Amino acid sequence: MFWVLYKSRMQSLFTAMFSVSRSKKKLSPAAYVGIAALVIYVFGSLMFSNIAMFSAVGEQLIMAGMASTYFALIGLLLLGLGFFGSIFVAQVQLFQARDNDLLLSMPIKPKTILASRIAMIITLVYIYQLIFVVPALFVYFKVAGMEIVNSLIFLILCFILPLFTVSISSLGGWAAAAASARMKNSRVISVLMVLLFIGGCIFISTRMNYYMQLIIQKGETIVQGLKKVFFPMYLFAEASASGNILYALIFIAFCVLVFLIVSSLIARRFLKITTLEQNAYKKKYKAKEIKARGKSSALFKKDLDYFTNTIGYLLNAGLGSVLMLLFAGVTVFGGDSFKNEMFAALGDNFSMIAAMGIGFCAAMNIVTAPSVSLESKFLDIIKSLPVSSMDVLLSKLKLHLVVSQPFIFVSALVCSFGFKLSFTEFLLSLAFPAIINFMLGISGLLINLRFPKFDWINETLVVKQSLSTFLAFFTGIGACLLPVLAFMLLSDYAEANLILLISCALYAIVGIVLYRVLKTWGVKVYESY
Amino acid sequence: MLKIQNLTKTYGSKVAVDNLSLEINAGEIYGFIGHNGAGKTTTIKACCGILAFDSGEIYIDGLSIKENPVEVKKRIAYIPDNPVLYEFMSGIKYLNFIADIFELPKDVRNREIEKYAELLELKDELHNPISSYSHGMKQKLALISALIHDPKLLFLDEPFVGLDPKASHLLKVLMREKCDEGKAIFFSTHVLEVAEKLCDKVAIIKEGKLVVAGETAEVIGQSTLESVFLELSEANKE
Repeated sequence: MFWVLYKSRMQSLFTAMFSVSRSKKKLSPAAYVGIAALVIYVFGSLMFSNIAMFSAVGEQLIMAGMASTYFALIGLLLLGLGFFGSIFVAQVQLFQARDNDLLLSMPIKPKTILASRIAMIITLVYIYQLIFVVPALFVYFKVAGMEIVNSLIFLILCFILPLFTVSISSLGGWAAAAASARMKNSRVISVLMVLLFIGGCIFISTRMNYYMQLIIQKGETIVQGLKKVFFPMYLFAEASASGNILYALIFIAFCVLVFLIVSSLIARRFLKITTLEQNAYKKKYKAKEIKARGKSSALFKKDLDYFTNTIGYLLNAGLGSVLMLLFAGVTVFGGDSFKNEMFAALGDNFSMIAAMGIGFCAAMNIVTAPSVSLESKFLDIIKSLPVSSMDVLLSKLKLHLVVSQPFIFVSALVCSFGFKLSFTEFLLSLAFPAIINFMLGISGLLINLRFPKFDWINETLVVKQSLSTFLAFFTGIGACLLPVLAFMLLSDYAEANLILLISCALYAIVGIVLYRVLKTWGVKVYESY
Repeated sequence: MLKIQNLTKTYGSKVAVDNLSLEINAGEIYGFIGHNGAGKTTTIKACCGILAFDSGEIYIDGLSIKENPVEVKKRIAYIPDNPVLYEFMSGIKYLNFIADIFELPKDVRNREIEKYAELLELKDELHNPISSYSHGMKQKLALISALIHDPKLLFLDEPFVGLDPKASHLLKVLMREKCDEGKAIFFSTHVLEVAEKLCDKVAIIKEGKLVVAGETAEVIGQSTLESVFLELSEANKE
């Protein structure tokens, strides 16, 4: 029974990521090959970039005899990313799963249901870990040679570590689920927590060189500090670096023990947790005057409310707005050395740096790319109402623009102070991201119309892991890269500002063409659903 | 009020609705009966402009759903069998949204929401999120949203599912009242006793084809609707 449940969970995850049409067509063999190629490409790219990152620190640490520091950092990275990558999954899968009632009414032991879900989360953590473990080992082999025993111990400990990671993320998910059932503003708290985490990551990444130097200088201190503060991770680091089997066994025992304690705690309270009424918080009634709006305004308000009330959608599709403000802030407060490091290939063409920086951030706003998929649950309502299909689609485009354009304006303004741009340069640094954001809003809609996902059970999966959001994201990055490439090839013949101006004009034309496609083909496809 | 002419809808190789024709006049409650998968929901959704259809035509109040979908939808209301509402909204926000779409003036929407919310005993829950509603409460909310803009033609897909006895009774009373005002109602149901007592006309559909349609009294004759339905199901099997 466990394997049946586990297999169905993994299958639903795969389907959620890759199924495309409402007609429930099966994927062709060519589609499977395409998906496999895509996955290999994404994993390969991420692994290569991690190899570069780990080499920068790892080579010096390992050559200086501080391999334990190296493995301590890897271990902490795996733990941290595994925790943040799985806490919300744990919250939804363990404590807010929609098939709880169905499964609990069947002759299946609750602990089997729980075990299958935990196994799925652990599998996900293994997949995340792969992107870091393989590069970490590669760098270690490259520097220290083929230390088989150490490497084997490291691999075994990486295999065991998710037991601890998932235990703490399950406890975190439990707390989050309980909070969302009881608290009025639990959503706000979750959003703030995630933004703080992302802000922290960005802050660290802007000072990466400094921290890397610090780590190399104080490597031993880090390990000794870890010994006092988090002894199991010290054991992980020492066992991997020196091949100490005793340390490895103690670490394994610790992870297994924590896992068993947390699992049995959750298993004992599983029925109570799953029957906890979600959204039990009832609003106190406050009489307010009803506001009457026009049709377009009502559709937009509905889409805006959905966006702000769905954390997965808000954070994953609107993150670019936060990032572009951070980018703009860094141009003012980051100091000259940081400015010189940013977009080194663009030299001192600050208008282009500003335009590209804001543009890349704006490209991360993929508000329209999952919007049609997300509307699919409510298609019957919206299609029965006296609104045209184009009005429905335009409302989503409006949401995309409202989420991005004000931030683009503020960021361009701040960048113009940070980089001391002229008025013309300010206009270019505003126009480029604004136009590209408009173009990507429409292209996101078209991509989603072409590759909708109707069989979803979790909004976050649609926003983060569907084909249309993936394609929209990389379309955006590609669109931003083209002017950079053009500049690198043509900088001897044309100024950066001219290239920027031509890019703006070209993308504006593309945007207009895509808008017409939306009005014709887009509407036709939407009406066929 | 509603004229369906030779409606055909296929899903791949499966013919969901096969050359269906029927008419509903103002003032009529029209029951639409059939087994699971017979084509009832497909027919209703096609009439509401939710599903495109392969051939035929549908006219509501003289307007074609294909050529004037927005105009037609201003005159109708649709309640699905399992209302999937905007759960992130509160009940009152959802009703206000519907009122905005139908461009109802403030005083009219206030009055109508108040009236139906009181009648269906949902007033105290309107400020709560729809996600906290039970199935029956969602059904009631969907019903209120359908009634506030005073549609000429109501499409109800199994409207009695999930309603408590009092609400069911109220719904039947409302349906009769609306039709006495000159509106029309086209609804599907599996509850044949209700259809027999409530409907002016009935149609029975089987495997996408219309088997019988007409005045309820003529269709059932001396028998019951249940007997007629079962007889027709068996007859077509042979």
